[in-house]
Amino acid sequence: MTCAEVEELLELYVIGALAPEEGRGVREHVAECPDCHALELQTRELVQVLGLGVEQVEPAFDLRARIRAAISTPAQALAAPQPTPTAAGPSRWRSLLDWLGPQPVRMGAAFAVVPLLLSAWLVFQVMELRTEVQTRDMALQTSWQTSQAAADIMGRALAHGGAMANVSGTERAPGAWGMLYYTPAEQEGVLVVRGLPELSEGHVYQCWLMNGEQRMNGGTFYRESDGRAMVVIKSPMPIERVDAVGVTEEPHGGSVEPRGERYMWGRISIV
Amino acid sequence: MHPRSEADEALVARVAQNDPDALDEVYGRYARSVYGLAYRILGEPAAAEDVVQDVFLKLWRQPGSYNAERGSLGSWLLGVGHNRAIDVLRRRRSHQEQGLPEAGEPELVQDGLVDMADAASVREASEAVRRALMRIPPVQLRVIEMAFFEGKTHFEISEELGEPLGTAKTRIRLGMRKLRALLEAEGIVTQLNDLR
Repeated sequence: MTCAEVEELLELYVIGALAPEEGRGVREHVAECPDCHALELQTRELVQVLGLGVEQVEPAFDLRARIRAAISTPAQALAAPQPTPTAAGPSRWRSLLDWLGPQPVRMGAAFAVVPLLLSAWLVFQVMELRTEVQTRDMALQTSWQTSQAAADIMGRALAHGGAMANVSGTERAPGAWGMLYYTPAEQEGVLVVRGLPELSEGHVYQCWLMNGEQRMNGGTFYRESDGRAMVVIKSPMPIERVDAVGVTEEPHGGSVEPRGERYMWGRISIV
Repeated sequence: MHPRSEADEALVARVAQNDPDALDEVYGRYARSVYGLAYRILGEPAAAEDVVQDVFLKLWRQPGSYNAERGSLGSWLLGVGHNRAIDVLRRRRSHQEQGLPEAGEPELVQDGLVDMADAASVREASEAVRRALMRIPPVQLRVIEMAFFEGKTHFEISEELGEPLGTAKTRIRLGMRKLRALLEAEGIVTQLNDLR
């Protein structure tokens, strides 16, 4: 492939639109040609900038804590367990016992090993505890940040120019009621609810913002043990343009569009 | 170099020393961008969250994969996230269509990309990119989106649009070059004049 041919295909190569054999030709040329390699890196820059054009979206609040928990788990613990030798097991143990010497010597060795094992167990317990504490710290920190954000939004909603909307339980949750706090021109709100029933395992509540036929994800959340819940909603449009807010039951992680039963619903209107 | 870029480098150095707070700070800066991109590609919150987790675990386990001299941390994280999301998308289709390449690891970009550590810069750059995309002819924008967000090859694009193969290739090329010109004018990407 010549430099001119590569230059013609570079945009397609970098964006991933070439077939494997075409891409191979470009890759081989670029690896040998410093000028085309420099051009390739610059073109990649352009492609990565495309990702910037996408709206930023707030991920689930517990994702940060999940990542924190994952990095607290040693890589070895995540590796597949090694198969335990079985056929050769007894004879190996026998050889080890023989190597330790006569029985009284073995007992002495056993007593010496017990404190070591105990120490190892204690170290393991401390590490487990530390991981748990770190995870809880993270969750608390996230919860604190969420509370701070919610307090700011609610403060603005209660000030001049702010607004609130009643949200009522449906037949699935007759005892549920709540309030959406928001500022009409802003794209954030806080939904505070009570009386939500417990969901089956593997399910979460998900909030939806409705604009005509459009259903926009407002975020997933869990209820507290007493049925209360609070979620900071990020709307892709000013909330004054949203017609209504709803809450459905969805599988863990949430859904792209509402598929589960509706638990709450409320029209966006100034109370 | 921009002082916030140094802060990014310092954060990655702390990540390399197994400092979880440093990773947490990187997450605070870039998770929304990476999640937004992954969600745009995959359309499912759970799958997009998996991509975000993969991206940040990669930085934690292989901090040396990122080379600060060749690009900003934000663009690298977006690149890893894009590749992961496209891999997931292609695996979903793999039972129907064989032979698609996996996106693999992104090549690192050179200096010149906007410093994404500055939230205002990120917003400005995002708006500039969106403005530029709106000025690209719709037929060219459509094929760029099919390649970038849907992971489709020019064969698949031409087949889906019912157009000759050469047309799809030309539209991608022209659209990308138009985008480059618009973003160069905005100062978002490096000038290429000295390379051509």
